[in-house]
Amino acid sequence: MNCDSRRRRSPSPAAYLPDDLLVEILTRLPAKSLCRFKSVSRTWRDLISNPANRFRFAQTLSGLFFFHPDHRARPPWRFCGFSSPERDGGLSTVDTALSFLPSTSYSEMELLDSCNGLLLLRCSCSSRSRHGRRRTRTTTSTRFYVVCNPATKSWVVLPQPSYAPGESRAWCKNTCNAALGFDPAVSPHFHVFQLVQHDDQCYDYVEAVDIYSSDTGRWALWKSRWSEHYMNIYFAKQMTYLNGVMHLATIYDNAVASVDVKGQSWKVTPAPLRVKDGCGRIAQSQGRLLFVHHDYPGDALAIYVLDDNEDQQSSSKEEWTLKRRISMADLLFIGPRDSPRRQGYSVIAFHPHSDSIIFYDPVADPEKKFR
Amino acid sequence: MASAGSGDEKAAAAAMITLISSDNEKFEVTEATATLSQTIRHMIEDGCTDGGVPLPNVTSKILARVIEYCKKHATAAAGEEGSSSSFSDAAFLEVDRAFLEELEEFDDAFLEVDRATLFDLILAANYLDIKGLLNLTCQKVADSVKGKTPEQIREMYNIVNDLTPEEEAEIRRETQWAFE
Repeated sequence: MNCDSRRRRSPSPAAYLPDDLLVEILTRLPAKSLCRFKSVSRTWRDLISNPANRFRFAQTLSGLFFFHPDHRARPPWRFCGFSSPERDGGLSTVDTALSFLPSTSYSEMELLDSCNGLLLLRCSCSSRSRHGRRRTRTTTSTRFYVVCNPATKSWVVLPQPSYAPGESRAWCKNTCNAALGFDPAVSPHFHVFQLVQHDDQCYDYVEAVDIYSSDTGRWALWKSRWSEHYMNIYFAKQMTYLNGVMHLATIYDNAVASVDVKGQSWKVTPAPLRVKDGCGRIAQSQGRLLFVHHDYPGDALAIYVLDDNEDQQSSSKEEWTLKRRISMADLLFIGPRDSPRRQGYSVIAFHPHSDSIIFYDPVADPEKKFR
Repeated sequence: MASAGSGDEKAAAAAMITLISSDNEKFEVTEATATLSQTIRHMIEDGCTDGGVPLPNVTSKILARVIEYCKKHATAAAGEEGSSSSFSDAAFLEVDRAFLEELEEFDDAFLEVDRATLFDLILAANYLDIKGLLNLTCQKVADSVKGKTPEQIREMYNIVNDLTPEEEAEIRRETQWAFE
């Protein structure tokens, strides 16, 4: 019956919705559906890739922010675009210098993390420079988090967590490490994870995680429950957010520690069996967690994927599968390990939507991308 | 008039507006209900609603549904305006939450329509410029197509694939991750 009334009206309901209304619907789709629907028809393809519509769509990756290896660089981050501007103009909408932020100088801003189009910054303002009339005292600077969207030029200052951000002094809890979790396909809200680490002589172990939710506008402090699995989790300076869960690379333990946005599910996943040296980093690409092992003796990069069977109930089903093993020499098209060009090469990131790895090449800068 | 069936009991002071559908049916609604539509709001501001507002793009079947939505949400909007000053009042927030839940249930039930009606509602919401309704209906369509394949989309909406095999192959290559 429905079909009849539809046919009577028009052979194609989608065709009788004007383009602007079709775009209204497309703006509500996650990036993955959008990409897939490019092959529905010419009209859909053109609407989805039209630069005029792009800024309204779920963020498909158009570039990458990363820390500049040179600490003195200003601004202290770099942006490298993936798409050729003449083809889709995707980059023009992004203010990569973040000039929309009301900050006075970049020296007061640190880029901590980026996740699906949002950036997490740690900013500081010193009370002396703000209130110059006061007697000169030792400058006390307050650090705070800012989350911004360079595409829409919007930003928000977060309230202070239980432990002040960016602390690394002796006898203090170390709160230098924080990361951002955001997935517009799942929720318009973002989360910030601040690790509260305890000074344990040479390395700090993770004692608690402070999690901010933009939905509630509050921080919640969760004592680490990873210790139920392992003695202590030592954080290896690297976190990756995927599907509502923040994953941490660890040292010593040869494992990946994970906690969800609600602070309820704490998990430790052992590293792939063949990895013994604890030299791994984690990343995510195409919706799956990667464990990337730099095998120095073998001079190769081994990429493992965490497969969790769709209908699995217990976490024990999760397994790392070796997806690819690439010889570094082949990968970088450059000479053997000690050739001068190898110096300074570093993996920056994995492309979230395709099989690409991004490297930093100090010689060729701007950054290079290899498959 | 009878067809309006609105029964706004205590709307004595409220100004009434008559909306006329494309098939000439008349609907009488309060101004508060009608002004959820920005299009009608502007008409009221311009003082050109005497003798009714003709809506040649909207059938009586669809207009009746749109009015049903507006009535429900006009009460919601009125509640919100009153609440802005007592935002911190916990008891009030509690009441608010119950009402929002009710509204959500209403919206869910409201969207239980066939595809053609849903598209007609989108067109009407757009023409009448009712943001909430446009958002609701577009989201419903988006949710229903989200996990589908391009083939399923074409079938659902009778869309002819006019891409050449080469074009389609290229798109597939570029967006391969989205098909996994």
